[in-house]
Amino acid sequence: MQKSLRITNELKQVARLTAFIARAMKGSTAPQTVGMQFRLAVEEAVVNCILYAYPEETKGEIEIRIDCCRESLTAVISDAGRPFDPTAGKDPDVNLPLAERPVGGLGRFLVKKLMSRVYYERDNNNRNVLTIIRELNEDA
Amino acid sequence: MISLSGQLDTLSAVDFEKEIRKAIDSSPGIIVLDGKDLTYISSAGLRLLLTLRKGLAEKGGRLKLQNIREEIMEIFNITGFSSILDIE
Repeated sequence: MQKSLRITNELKQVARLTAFIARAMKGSTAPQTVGMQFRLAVEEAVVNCILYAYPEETKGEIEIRIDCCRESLTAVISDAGRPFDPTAGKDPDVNLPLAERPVGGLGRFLVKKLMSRVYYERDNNNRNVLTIIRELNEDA
Repeated sequence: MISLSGQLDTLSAVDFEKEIRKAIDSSPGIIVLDGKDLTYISSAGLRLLLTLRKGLAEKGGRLKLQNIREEIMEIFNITGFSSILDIE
């Protein structure tokens, strides 16, 4: 069953998001590690929206829809901020030595690495829509 | 030694940083983080570990992690953190 949550672009909303993900995944057959990775991917994607979708000091909203079924876990995250494709851009080099390691850029990378599929579109209502899917039969 | 318990997410990483800064300022030697009860880490938590690791190295100290759970180790492996952190 699909569940949805609407939050404002404030970091403190992450607490609501975490509780929402737990509720949405209740009863899911996903193994615990997969559930953790899905939560991580959703949190990273939403935090990116909170921090960067809207200009600083501008209030905005973010909608998160989660659908857990037997075959997959799906999250659709949308905002009305400036167009931004988080699936584009270079991945960080994870083989760099400590001194050259940049501190940021890991969130988007984790979303791509941990999920089976990640799509971005700017829809007809001028919203950024990010869909992330984790198949559940991959590890079988 | 500092025990990590539960979750190192976007919100808890902020509190944890304050806590650990105090520990570094009072004794910048070896800081051992025990991950036995750490079940979740986000990129905010990873960034914090990297910042600590760099900060301690600059002061001649060291950051060591022990008892890291398998699911967290997987995140360390994917992000290359397993090769830059001192994990027992």
